[in-house]
Amino acid sequence: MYIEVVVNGEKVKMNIDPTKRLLDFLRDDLNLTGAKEGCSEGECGACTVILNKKAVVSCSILAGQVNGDEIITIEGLEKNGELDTIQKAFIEKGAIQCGFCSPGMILSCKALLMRNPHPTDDEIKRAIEGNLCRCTGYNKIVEAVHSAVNRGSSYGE
Amino acid sequence: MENNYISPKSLEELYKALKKKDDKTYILAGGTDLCIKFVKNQIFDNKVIDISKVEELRNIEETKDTINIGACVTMTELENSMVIKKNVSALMRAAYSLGSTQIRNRATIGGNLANAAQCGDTIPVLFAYDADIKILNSNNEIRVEKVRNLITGIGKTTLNPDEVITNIILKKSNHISSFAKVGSRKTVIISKINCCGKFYLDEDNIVKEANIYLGAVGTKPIQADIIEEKLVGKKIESISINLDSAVEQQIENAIPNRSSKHYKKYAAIGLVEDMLLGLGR
Repeated sequence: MYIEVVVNGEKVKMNIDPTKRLLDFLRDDLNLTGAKEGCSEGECGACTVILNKKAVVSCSILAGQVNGDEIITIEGLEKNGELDTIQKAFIEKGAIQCGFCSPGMILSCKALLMRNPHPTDDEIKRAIEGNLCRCTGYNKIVEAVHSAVNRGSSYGE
Repeated sequence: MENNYISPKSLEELYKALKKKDDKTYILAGGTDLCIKFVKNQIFDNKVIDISKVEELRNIEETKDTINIGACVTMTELENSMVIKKNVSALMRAAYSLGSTQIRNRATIGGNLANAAQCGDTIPVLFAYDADIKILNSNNEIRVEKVRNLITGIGKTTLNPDEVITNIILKKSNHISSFAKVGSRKTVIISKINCCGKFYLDEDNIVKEANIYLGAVGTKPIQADIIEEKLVGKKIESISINLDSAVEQQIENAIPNRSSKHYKKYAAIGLVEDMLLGLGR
């Protein structure tokens, strides 16, 4: 089946098996390997992408379901060689260690900031409750989101 | 490969798609349970009817007497709906506490029902509200079934192979309600036990009617008649009156032969308290 999606701002039309998972479509067909396969059952959040402005786990969606939709992966946050504010904040605050959870974690935070530019601690924690990190202990991640909010406003973004 | 995926956009396209359904065809809504089942059970020759883009299934409608929820309304949509918050606060709470942000953005109320997991969080709420379930078949015929007749066991419903849930209909009332759950961590909880209570209070806050359902202590939610009886006639503020023995008896009756009963008796005492505290908020 032909599916048409906008991935990271670019239109993609491709003949694929619509019953494959969105995660496999992104990784195998589009070579966007930023989304990671962790638990394969929607619990760990490593495969999180943004679908129509909402964070979703791409292991629990079929490729056919996103026909006509808009997807942002971690590869899409960088613009003209410059990282997104939230990515810079993660690096500066040491919110990344092994990096396996980072694409999903960052996209969950990004989806939150897209609908709520000034989240509270509790709102941040709720946004990432479906993203498991075994290195940083989450505090630095929450700090990074606050830092991105402050940076965003001082840089006029 | 061309014919293994149908994505109807309207109810008309949906009933026509149901005509082509065979025993390898799965009805897909949000996908949060079914996609995992495909991988776990190594199902690769599947066919899919994806109902998530049927426009008519995506709305919450309020009429004079009813709340009509489309089967593909997501947990996030339920959680944020003013209609649900105002009329069925237990359902708002159940949706709020289900899964993670990512799961709630996809998981649907129709899927939660059709999947009929014993721990499904919206199910005890729909039992307490005695919801009517609207069902469409491949001949474009509609039937309505009570939710407690629809679900018959774990993963078992009275849906025929060519049928799909289209709407969940709740009667409006001036009852108040609440939902609580217990699991092994604070968030992203698969309920070990959950509970919905719906009450009618008189002007002095005395409980006139109580409907309480406990989930995950059996194959489908059970009515907590012993607890209900204890509460009727009592003032809602003084409900910390000792319910312990009633709750323990209720769990004993529900799962007399399960080793988890010892844990669940204790857990349910706090659970019912949480549920009742939630009423005030």
